[in-house]
Amino acid sequence: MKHSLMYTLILLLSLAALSCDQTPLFYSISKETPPKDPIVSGAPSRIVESNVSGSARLYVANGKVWVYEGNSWTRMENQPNGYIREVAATTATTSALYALTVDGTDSLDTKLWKSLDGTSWTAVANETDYPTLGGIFGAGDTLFVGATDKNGSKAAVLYDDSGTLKSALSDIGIRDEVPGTLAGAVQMGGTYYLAITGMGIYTAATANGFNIDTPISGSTDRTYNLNGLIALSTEVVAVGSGGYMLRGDSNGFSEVSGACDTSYPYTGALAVWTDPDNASNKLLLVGRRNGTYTNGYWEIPLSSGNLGTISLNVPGSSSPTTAGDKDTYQQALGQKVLTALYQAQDSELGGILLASTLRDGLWACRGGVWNAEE
Amino acid sequence: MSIRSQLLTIAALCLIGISLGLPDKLYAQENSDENSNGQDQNGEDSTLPISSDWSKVKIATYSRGDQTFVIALGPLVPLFYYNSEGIQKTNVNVGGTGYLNYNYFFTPHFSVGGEVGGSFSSTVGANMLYLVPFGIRLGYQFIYNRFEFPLALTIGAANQGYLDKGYFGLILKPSAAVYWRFNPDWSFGLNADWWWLPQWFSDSSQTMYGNFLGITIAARYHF
Repeated sequence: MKHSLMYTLILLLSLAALSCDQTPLFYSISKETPPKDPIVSGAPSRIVESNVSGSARLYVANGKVWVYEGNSWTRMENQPNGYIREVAATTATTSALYALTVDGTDSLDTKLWKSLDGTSWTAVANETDYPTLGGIFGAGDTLFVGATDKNGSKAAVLYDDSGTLKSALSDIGIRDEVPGTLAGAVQMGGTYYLAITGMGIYTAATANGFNIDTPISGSTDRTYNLNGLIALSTEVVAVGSGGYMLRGDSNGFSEVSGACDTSYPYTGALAVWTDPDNASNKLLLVGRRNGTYTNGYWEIPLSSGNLGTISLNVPGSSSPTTAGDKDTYQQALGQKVLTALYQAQDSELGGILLASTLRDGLWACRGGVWNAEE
Repeated sequence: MSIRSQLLTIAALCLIGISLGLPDKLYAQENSDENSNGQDQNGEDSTLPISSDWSKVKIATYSRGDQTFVIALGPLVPLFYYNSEGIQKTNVNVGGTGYLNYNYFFTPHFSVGGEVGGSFSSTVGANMLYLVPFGIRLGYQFIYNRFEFPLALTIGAANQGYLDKGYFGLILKPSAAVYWRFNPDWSFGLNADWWWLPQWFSDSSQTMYGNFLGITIAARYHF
């Protein structure tokens, strides 16, 4: 009996020792918040900001176009015909809101719509050899759209020239390693940049000045699988599902040391976040995924608006940060695969940070806590 | 289990059955020449001052060497967490649990064995909490007729998982059950387990003592 008591005591002490300083699961769970029902459900598109209606609004699509005026999300009263898959916006003198619609189930019957006032829509003419549209991006004052021919064998990038689509880049042969999809379009310093999956990044001073034979050096490795592009202060950053991040400009791109890991593919979601309390604090937010539980986005502090020393941080784990608490972030948005991120720029919109998820609707970070927008 | 033990068990069960149901018949047989009024064929009062001794004989149902194997399934109800700051909400929904345990009787009442189980529970944040406890099991059992009331304390460890995080630590699981002996091989019953899972941390605000209640239906095989 003495031995039994001794063994039991040893067992209990061993377990008590093992129990110390691991992960506080119950503590973490006690901080969980129930997810809300997203008003913009499913797989929302990229979020765009436009003032075509006369004041700043946010727009997103999930079959219909939704608008946020600073308080709540509502469906636009006048919607283009068809299933609205994407929205985009251009700025400056050509300020317009665009919507890409799909009819039927094969995603081949597509149409691009344009609104100059936020209420009425007109179809953008497409008389090119590339009738199937997919992937629309506003790059400053110009709208670029990816397209394929009716056989699906060749891809192109078109742009809106006063209500008519014209070719910016064309004759891209589609094959397994070259999907040829338009992954992003930005304008920086008056120069356009287009990222095409499997091809590389192209630059031109005008929308019709691109050359398919001259991608920017350092951007053409097909393993990058480019899926996102964003302009920072004086450099452009591209990411890919191959797990690589590139930085550069029209002179060339290079892999970003410390931000390339093939086991952490980028989702293409990219945004620059500005600290509402200190505008000099800026973060680059990048969507990544790794396994079942590690999704969401990472934060990279920016230095003078560009990438400095790379430090990829989980939201809530360092300062400045977008999330109030690492645990509550990881329990919520950290589980979701993100397709888009955006922080509202106009002060009327409150600097709200939004995220489109792959299948859990539109989320927002309010008071440091992520939850679905309802 | 030895033949001797099996024979003893069967004998014990027979004796219990006899003590419960057969005395009347035996008594009737002993008085087969009585009529319904307790008189013999000659009409004389033939009641003899004889009483059965079976009711005074208590034969243990269990004896050293008896073993049981239990399989149980049921819901796991989150009760509360507590720490130095008081009672905390669990944020866990009712989940499911199941376990297997083995018991070896050293005396007609006292047993020692082992247990392994598992549970899953969703959280309010639409995540999952997994608990996989295992340990040694100390038991004491009361018996009343065909009802058996095992009390037990399982002392062991539980591997706990949530998102991609984990915790491995102590679990204490006192339990009480009631079983109905269906036949010499099987009994069925209802079991209640209190799961006490401490998660200790140097930061006392993160220390939590988890409390759950498992309510399971169980089948117990006797051999």
